[in-house]
Amino acid sequence: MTAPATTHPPDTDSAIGNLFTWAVAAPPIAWLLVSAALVMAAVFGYTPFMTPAELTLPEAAGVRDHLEILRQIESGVDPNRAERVRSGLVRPGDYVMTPLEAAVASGMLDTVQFLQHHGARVDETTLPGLLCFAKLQGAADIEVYLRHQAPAHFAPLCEGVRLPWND
Amino acid sequence: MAWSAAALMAVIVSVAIVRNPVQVTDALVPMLDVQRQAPLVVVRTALKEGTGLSRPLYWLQIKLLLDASRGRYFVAYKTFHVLLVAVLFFLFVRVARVRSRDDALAFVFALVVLTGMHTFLGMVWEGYPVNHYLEIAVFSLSALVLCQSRGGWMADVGASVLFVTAALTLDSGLLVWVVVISARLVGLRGVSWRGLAVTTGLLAVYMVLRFGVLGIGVPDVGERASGFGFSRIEPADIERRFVATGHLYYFYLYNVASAFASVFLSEPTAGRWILTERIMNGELDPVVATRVISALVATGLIAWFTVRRRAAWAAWQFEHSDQLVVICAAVALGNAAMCFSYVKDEIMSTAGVFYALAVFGASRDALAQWGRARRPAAVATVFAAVLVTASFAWTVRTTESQYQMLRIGTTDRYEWAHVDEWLAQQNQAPRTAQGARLVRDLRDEAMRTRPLSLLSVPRWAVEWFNLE
Repeated sequence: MTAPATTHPPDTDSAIGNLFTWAVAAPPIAWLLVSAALVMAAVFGYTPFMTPAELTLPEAAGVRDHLEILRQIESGVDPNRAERVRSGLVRPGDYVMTPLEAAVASGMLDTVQFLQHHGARVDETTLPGLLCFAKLQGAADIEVYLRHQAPAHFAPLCEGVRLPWND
Repeated sequence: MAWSAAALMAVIVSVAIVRNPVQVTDALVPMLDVQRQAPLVVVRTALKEGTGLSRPLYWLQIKLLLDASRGRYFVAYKTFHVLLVAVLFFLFVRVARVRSRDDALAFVFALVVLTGMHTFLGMVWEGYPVNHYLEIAVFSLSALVLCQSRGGWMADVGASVLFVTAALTLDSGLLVWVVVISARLVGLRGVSWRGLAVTTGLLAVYMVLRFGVLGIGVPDVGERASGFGFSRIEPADIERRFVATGHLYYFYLYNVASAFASVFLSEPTAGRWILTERIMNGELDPVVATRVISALVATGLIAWFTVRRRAAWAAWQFEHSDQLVVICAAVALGNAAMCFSYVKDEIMSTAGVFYALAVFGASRDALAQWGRARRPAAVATVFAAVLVTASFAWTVRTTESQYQMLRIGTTDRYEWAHVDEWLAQQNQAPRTAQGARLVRDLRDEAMRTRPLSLLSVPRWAVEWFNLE
């Protein structure tokens, strides 16, 4: 079943006609070429807008990837172990921090709660650092939440507490 | 060039689809529902949904794909989704009938209109786990291909089969009938009058079964929130403002008019006039400018074309571009009528596809006409600047669709991490070991997907993409 022929305008051959047709087509063609290049780059392992393939647990906490957190904890990764967080994931520069510290750094209360629910320690040994870090980061909701986790009359002094950064 | 551009676009869209996991909301519960049932029971249950919706073949597809997957759910559902995307782009090129270099260049523009439309996102982003809106667009384009053919008994039978399949897949499958009848009226004779009569008879049977025998009816307005004016109103408000006051038909009229306008103006979005509100508030940021310019120029081309061809239309003479524009108007009207009880962008997705075809027809004609006319250089430069700006705006909107598709992958992964709590909240926690295994397997599959890192997308770029 072939389509019947209909009248059809011929191609323009004037300079003005070419200007109009290319004006309409140039942006999409450029977009398609760039996208094709990105798809090809992905085939060879270069994916600039994707989360890195291998995240440490603190990195997963820093980018709020709860499913990756769950995967790693279920496969036996210690939710309290400090590991590398690459530059740009929570802020410029490489740091070594625990998953809870990375969650506080990114200001995500739900990630703090998720980590705690899956075994990350929020107790007298970790609370001073986390509370002081939340205060430093201006994460008020996390600070309030952590204070509720603390025993009554718990008043940490931030001087001398080791934090991932102090500025 | 048209085939290459469409194939490339299909690949780009498909890559975004397969990066995302099968979603939790709207997908997991249907899968759990059909898991325990035999296919015939699935169909029977679907006909007794009691929601005012009729989509037995949608449920059957979920069941058949689930059974055929042999535990590789992601592969089964995503393969089906990607195949539908490939067929959509194939049919889009087929019905456009690209014959020359100018056609091809206008077609590339139409391609970004298709993928940049706000209705496109819901058509490819969500899997329920089968995206039935995408299916309806494919069925409707297939019907147009039959109408454009030389005809014969196969085309007539094909139209009837397409209609029955579409109508039983989703309520908006009735658009296949709209395509067939409007195509016939504008001179496409692939489906004969006899074929059209049979399809119309099937529509009548459908109506009798739906409203009479099975008593399915239509969705109740009190079931969903809906956009209205600048805000979103909840079912209780709809009840108070329209049902209790006896002004329900105003609400229906608003919904139909809003849905129709949304195709041509890219506004309102799901019944809410967000763009207008932001313009009135003086928020002329990139996303507002992009939407306004793109919609005004593309619809302006269609309007210009309509005015230019009005004499031919009055004489009932339709060429290919005329047919695309008129069929687009008919599909948009039919599609909008289906939004009477609530407006949702996804429902209008088939109209969005036909809008892109109409833009193709109108822009092809405009380029041919304007290219031949003698104009001062300054005027020609202004015309070219408007065209390139509009084309750039649609290209940005296509990028927005891609961005949103990848962003939702991050949300889907988040939802999988909390799936047990979500199922418990919905009172849908699996009650069998088989159901629990399905949830666990799907979650494990979701763990293997890789999301877009929002951190890598510059903040200035996001301002071009987020309307709300």
